[in-house]
Amino acid sequence: MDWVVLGAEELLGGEARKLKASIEETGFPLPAFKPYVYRVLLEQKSVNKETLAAMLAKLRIKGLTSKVGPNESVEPFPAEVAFEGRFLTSPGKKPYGIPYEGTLLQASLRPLLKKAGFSRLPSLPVVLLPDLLATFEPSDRRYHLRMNVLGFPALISIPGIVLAPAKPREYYLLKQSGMDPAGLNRAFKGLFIDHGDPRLPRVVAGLAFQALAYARTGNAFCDDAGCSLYNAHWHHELISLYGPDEAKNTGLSRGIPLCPAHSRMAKDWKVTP
Amino acid sequence: MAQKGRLFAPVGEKEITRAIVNSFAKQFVEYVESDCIIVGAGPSGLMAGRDLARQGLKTLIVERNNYLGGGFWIGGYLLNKVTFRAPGEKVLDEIGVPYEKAQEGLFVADGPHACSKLIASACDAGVKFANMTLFDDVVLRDNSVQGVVVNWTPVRALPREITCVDPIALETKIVVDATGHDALVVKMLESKGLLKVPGHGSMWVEASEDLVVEHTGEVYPGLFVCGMSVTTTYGIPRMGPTFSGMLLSGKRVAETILESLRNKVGC
Repeated sequence: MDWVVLGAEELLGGEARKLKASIEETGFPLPAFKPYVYRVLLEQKSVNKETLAAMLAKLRIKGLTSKVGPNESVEPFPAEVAFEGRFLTSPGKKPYGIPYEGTLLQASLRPLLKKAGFSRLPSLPVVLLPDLLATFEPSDRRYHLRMNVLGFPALISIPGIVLAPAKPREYYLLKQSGMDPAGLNRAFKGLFIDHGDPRLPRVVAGLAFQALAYARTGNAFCDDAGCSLYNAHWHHELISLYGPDEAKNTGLSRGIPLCPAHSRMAKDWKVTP
Repeated sequence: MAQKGRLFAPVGEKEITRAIVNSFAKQFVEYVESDCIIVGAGPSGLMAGRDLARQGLKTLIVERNNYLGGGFWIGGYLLNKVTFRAPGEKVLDEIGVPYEKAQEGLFVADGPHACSKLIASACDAGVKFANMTLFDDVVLRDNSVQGVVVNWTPVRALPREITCVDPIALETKIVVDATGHDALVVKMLESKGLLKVPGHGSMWVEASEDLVVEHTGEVYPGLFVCGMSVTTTYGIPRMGPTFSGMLLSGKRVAETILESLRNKVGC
């Protein structure tokens, strides 16, 4: 299978080389790397700027406790469309905090990517995004932030890696008592993966491998908490996977941890594309 | 002039009353028509008013409380220290508020000092205030907001059975909703079916303060939003208790209004 990672340079900056090294060292088939997804779509003329900006503005979720998703019949405000338009080709500057409907975004991007020449499987686009993604959870009938949305294309939210997995319970108790976010982040430094954390590119590599595994086998997750395919819901789970010590992660990375079965699977894919 | 042996000039009660009423009436009559009415005298409204008045716009701020400044007097947890993330400290320099650096990119100032200086700065720029004045409705004409309907704040406290005090209208070119999370003006348009307001997003989502500034601007012809009203209007997550976003949103809305007015007259 061939696969393409879009947006690594724009969203990870200099750390993109760590992502590439992680993938290579783990023994995955090496993907092609392309620019940020919306830049590609605009360059390939799959969609025009105004339509793309309006599409994104319509996919915003207004409050995570909302019981209903974006309403197709409600036109977004001009300021929302203008906001999206300003950051279509500069994702690194886009302020984060607005959650977008992950499954609807994926469905909206699917035809546009196909039009831009990304055919369906066996070619898998893995799209890195500067936005928060959320999907509706029927069990408690509300939206939840996600690190990634699997399928075609696979979406990975960079701020979602920081905000979607749960931090230590004490973090939320202190936050509820009014402690400011910057002070909280300092107090809990090292206990969660933050923006700029040297482990972040390896987490992205693990999520990209989840997307690849799902595309090939229909099953993304592994029960082994020591495997990158483990469906981590807590930051401490990510930290136990990618290492507790930030300092040790500063050099060009090692590969990502895999259980013996998935390690064999990754190597088999490399030799039998 | 003071008489010999007396500290203060001999002025009677009636003269004092005449001075109050005449001065108020003169200003009120003058501001029945203005360039811009800002609803809400919190930090973003004051900042916007100051910058607009400095550019020569006839600006009136309507405030439902007696005091001006909104939540700018105190920071989080009722503590009277207010924080600013860079580059918000540049506004403090501009209005002459002393501050200390708490850490790289974070500054702290006395709430009373910062708030009183901002109020004074708005007054010095020429902003006029109608405090104890409640926003009641908008004046809509040709599908655009062209004024506000107001009443005295205490009127709301009176039982309807014993009183009925009709409001009055003030006309203007631009109305700014700076009413904080309430977004009262925007919600008034929603009640008329002209806008759909999603309400502010979850407080548990960390969000960049930039979002407020980036969404500051015109939301309906003639109606602009700034400050925390922006989060309610667009359903974006609420911010924590730092004030840079409020001050810069006030500045942004003033810039946007000036540009809009320039475009309207074809400059």
